[in-house]
Amino acid sequence: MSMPMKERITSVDRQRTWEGEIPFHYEYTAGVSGERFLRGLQRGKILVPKCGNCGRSYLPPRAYCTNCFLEITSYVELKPTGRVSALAESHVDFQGRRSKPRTFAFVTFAGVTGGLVHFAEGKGLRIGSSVRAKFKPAAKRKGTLLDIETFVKT
Amino acid sequence: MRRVAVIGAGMTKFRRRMLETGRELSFEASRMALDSAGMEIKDVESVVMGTAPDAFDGIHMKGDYLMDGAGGTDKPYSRVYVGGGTGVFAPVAGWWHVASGLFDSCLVVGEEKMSPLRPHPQYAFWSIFDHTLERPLGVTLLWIFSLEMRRYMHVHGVTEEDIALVSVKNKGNAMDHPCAQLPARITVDDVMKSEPICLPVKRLDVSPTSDGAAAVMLVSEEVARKYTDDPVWVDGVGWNVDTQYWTNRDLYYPRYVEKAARMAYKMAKIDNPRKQIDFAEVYDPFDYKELHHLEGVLLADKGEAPKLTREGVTQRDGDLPVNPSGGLLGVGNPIAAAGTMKVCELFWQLRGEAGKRQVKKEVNRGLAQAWGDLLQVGTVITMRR
Repeated sequence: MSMPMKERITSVDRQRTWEGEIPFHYEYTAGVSGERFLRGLQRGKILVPKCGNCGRSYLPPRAYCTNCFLEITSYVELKPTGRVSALAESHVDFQGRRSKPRTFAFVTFAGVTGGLVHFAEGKGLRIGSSVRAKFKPAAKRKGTLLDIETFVKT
Repeated sequence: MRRVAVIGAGMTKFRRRMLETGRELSFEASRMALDSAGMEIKDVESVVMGTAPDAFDGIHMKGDYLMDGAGGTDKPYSRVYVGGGTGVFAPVAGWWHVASGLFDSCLVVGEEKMSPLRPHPQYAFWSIFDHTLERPLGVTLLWIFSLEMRRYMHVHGVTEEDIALVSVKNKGNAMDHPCAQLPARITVDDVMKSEPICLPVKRLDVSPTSDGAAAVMLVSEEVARKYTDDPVWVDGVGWNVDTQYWTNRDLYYPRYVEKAARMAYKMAKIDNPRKQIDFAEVYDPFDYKELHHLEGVLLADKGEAPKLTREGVTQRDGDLPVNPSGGLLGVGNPIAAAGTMKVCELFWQLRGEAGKRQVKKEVNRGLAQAWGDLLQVGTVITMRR
């Protein structure tokens, strides 16, 4: 086992390899809070949980207050307008392949702890820009994050 | 080392498929443990999460993902893992957090959400086998459990009917557990006639797959006295991991479980476990495993566990109640949560808070044990009043 590297096989063609994959398939649930949030999106609304104890509301949605560690059962509707807190322009997809450039933004909302990552567009988009959620037409919404098509600079 | 007390416990229902995310399940169990202890999350100095393969929940690095549901945000938080033994190992890790003097409190959470993996979570285990020598056969864990069950039966002359009695007992015990997934009044005949899975293992010999979480609150003696007059003490912990070459040991006896138990007994100054342990929650993902493990933790001689079971010794009103909770066979088997559920059961039984599940005799000390990986991990905890 102490052979120096040059004495070992340095070409994979000279050794037998085994191809394999671990092909798992999943069906995820959104959870109690996620379900509420996604049903809201389907109706064209951004609903966020609001802690009855400290008054904090959260994105991403959650069923408990991270601050008070108490269950949250009430939700409030946000105005669909937020502010760009950070921006990125992607030229490769999640598997590393070249893809059409796309701008992503981290969008925050007044009075909400956290925010949403989503697509964003609009001329002169920059940190601090005000953006508005553009929902898909009601008939095309499925109760997923992509019911919001993108955020558009206002 | 300092004395460590358990002052709270909580668990979710165990179910085949829950809407709740792993985080939400963790929160529910954690919140219950805190409420039971009379504590708030700000009073908790450290958090330990026990959760088994990422492949179940389908979230890579799920220890991090689960963290804020367990109240671990902005605290010294860690995830521990020893396969199926994790659910008892997590409280062991919580114990050393407090016993060492590093922390005065540690919230310990066990979580598993097995339902996302389709078509069946069993599939996740295929990939833990050797990729050249075992996987080409399409091997599953059921294969090696069945080999182990048969080997145990062969060495001691145990029948499938003897083993089925465990399933009958545990599913019956689970009738009194409010969180149970598969409580049932069944007969040995029902077990024998249930569909073959990998013979000799049949459907009713094996626990279900489940979603769920369980949690316990561990604190130092000084903190315990502030919150309760009735703490339960952790007096022994042990764990042991044998080689992953499951082919290189005789499957009829879990020697790694014995080593884990001996480690815990040494700490707890137990020299006669059968006399000094009043009841046990041993790991029962299969009915034969309860027998295997009773022998491994030295509560029965080798080959004696089926006899104790036949004679009713292990019934809830017997001399050595085993799995009064209903165990994994009756309450369910969300892997790490199931092990932690057993530690919760020790807490409830020792405090006399087990309700309809309360064992008949007076109990002063209990043992919980879990097991896992490729038939190679034993984790043990003993607790007393």
